[in-house]
Amino acid sequence: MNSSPGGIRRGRMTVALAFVAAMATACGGNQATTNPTVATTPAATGAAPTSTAAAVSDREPNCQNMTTDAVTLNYWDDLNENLSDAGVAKLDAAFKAKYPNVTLNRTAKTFSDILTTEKLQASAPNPPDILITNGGYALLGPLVAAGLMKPLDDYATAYGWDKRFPEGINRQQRFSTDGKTYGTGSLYTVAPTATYVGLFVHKANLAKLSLQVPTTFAEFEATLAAAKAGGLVPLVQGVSEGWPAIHMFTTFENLKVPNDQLNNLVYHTAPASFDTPENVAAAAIAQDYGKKGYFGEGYLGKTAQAAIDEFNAGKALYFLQGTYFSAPIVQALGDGAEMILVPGTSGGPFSVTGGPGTAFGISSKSKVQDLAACYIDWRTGQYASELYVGEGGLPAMNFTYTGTSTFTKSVFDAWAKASTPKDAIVPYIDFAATNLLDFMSSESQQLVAGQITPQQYATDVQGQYAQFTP
Amino acid sequence: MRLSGLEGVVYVLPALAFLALVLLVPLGMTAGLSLTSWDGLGPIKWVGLSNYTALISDPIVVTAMGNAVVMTVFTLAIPIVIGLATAIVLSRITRRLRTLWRTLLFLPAVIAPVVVAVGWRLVYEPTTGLLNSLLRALGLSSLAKPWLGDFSLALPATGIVATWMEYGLVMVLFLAGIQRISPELFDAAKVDGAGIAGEVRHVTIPGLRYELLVAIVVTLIDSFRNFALIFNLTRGGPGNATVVPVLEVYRRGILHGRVGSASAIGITISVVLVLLVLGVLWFARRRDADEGSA
Repeated sequence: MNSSPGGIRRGRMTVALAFVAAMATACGGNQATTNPTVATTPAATGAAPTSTAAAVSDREPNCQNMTTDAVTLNYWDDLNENLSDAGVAKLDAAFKAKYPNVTLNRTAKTFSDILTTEKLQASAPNPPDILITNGGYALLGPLVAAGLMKPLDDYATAYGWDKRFPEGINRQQRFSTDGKTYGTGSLYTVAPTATYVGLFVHKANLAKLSLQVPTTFAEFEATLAAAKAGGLVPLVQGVSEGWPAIHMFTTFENLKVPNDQLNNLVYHTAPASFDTPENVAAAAIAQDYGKKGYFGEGYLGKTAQAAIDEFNAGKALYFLQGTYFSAPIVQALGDGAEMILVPGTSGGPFSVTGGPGTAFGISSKSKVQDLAACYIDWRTGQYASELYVGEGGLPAMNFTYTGTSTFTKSVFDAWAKASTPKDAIVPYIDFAATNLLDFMSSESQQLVAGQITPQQYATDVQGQYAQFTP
Repeated sequence: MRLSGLEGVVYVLPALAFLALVLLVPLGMTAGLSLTSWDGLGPIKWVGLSNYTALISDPIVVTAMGNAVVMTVFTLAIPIVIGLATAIVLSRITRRLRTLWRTLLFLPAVIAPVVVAVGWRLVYEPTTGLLNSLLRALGLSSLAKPWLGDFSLALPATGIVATWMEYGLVMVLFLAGIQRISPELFDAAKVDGAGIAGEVRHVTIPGLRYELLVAIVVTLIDSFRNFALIFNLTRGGPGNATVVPVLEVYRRGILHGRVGSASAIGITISVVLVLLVLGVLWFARRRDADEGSA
């Protein structure tokens, strides 16, 4: 169950989630097939109104404007996120079975490889037809601005991508054609999976302390104190790789800073600043927890994986990170773990950091763009999503989980809870500028270690953010 | 037979062309880019020397340069002291033992920096790492620290790894040098009543002058070329405690879309290194000249 042979770790990638609730019920239509563990919402009801008159099966690809010539599709894929090699091979075999004239040429890259090589490859004379990218101003924006990505709006209409995914997911993949305005305009990528930041709960430890899953921020803080008193690490962390440290701040930023301000920061739709009392208050919580020793011993010197190992070994009550780390936890604890959201204060702001994982886009230089669109459709559709769920991943598309894993169900439930209030999903904060990821990584480490004050943190991050203009 | 000037140029030409292609052309391009603002994809904008002037007041660059100076102590000074000491000891033991120890002590120098970094990460790991486990087993729990996660310990801890990688090369260099020194000189020193300290001071060290020069130049260059080690050990963290100039070149040039600023740092490192090496060579030559005239 829910295992990922890929061994997943790293930035916002992997395992993802589907919005459940409203979207699921909103789509009626042709009944999708089910498998033993997964019942589905009928996906892609808007798909292919033109080409095929016969009933469209979601067990096989259904391409529009498909050529019969022998063609090759070169595509980039995320090595760890989304799907195991075996899973991809299964999907590719099905694609080739239906379209034997197509040769699929896969290049799988790690997340950091994608970040470091994408600009060079995309701007080369013969780039791959399908590129896999990270969102926001850090990578997708510059690619769009340079005219290297094809707008996917026509394909989105033809294949029903505008209905397949929640708009909260699609919005994070839109850009104006000049690459300057994020969150509106054309759709440039389509993500197979989504991720969000939450709280992994060690259920046995919660029971041992005679505690309930907290539903208010006060209860949450009480469980932290109880865990500490009970000899457990309350919120185990390992942030030596840098980026995990950011979420020690954003988790509380989500509960202190109003959602529109967070969206303005990332999308640059209205003036917004990190240097506000709310951001300082969020930073103060992170620092306070650091001082109280809530993150465990030596958390600045160990990796996230080391923190997960401690969590899995029963030494901690919570592990604070995103669903991109689900796989190693569910492998060790199975349903002994649960995913929840850090509860907000009554009447206070509430949002969750999340969005699409690495996503497929089409090179503007590709000569097989129709084929590329069809392949993307296949990789992000119902059948592929069932495979993601089967491996412990969580699809970006509207998807209802009816399987038996209580852990997986908790991941879906928390995502549904986050997505039900409008705009409660805010993008990863480092999407706001090209130079923010590293900067906030080191600043956040300094913050939790008490090297700088919460006010200094807010001032510094704002200083770095202000250097960027879309 | 002496070649005419023109003939010599013809012989050197292929090597020169190769050198130009792999070294001078990229260096020239980097120098050019350092005068521009470019995100790696869009239009290139000429900004003159402003990338360079911005470096002076850039707190991360200033921190990185300061850390580079500290790393020089660990990559140059300490390895030379350890290398010299081990070479002297090895030169005084039996040949078979010497070969064995030389091989063992030289091993760290031949392991790829990535592998070294991964290995030392395991040693330094706060909860399960070898070092802290050892300290706890010895009842010294209070000394167990999050070595790479501590703001004041991370840089020295990283430096120790650099020392571990570097001393072997220096040792082998010195050992070869000692074996080259004429045995008569040692005999003469003994006859003159010099102890081991006297021998080292009056025969060994003066005899190793050229090896010392090579060691200084090589380790000096290495103390700036530590990207693989730092990137894999600490990523410059915690905070900016172990950030070094080459890491900042990578971050800006590859990740942040600040190719101009990255190039300016790269060119600055190169110029500083060339000046330092020239300084060392000039100092050595002057010492030679002084001694020659004495």
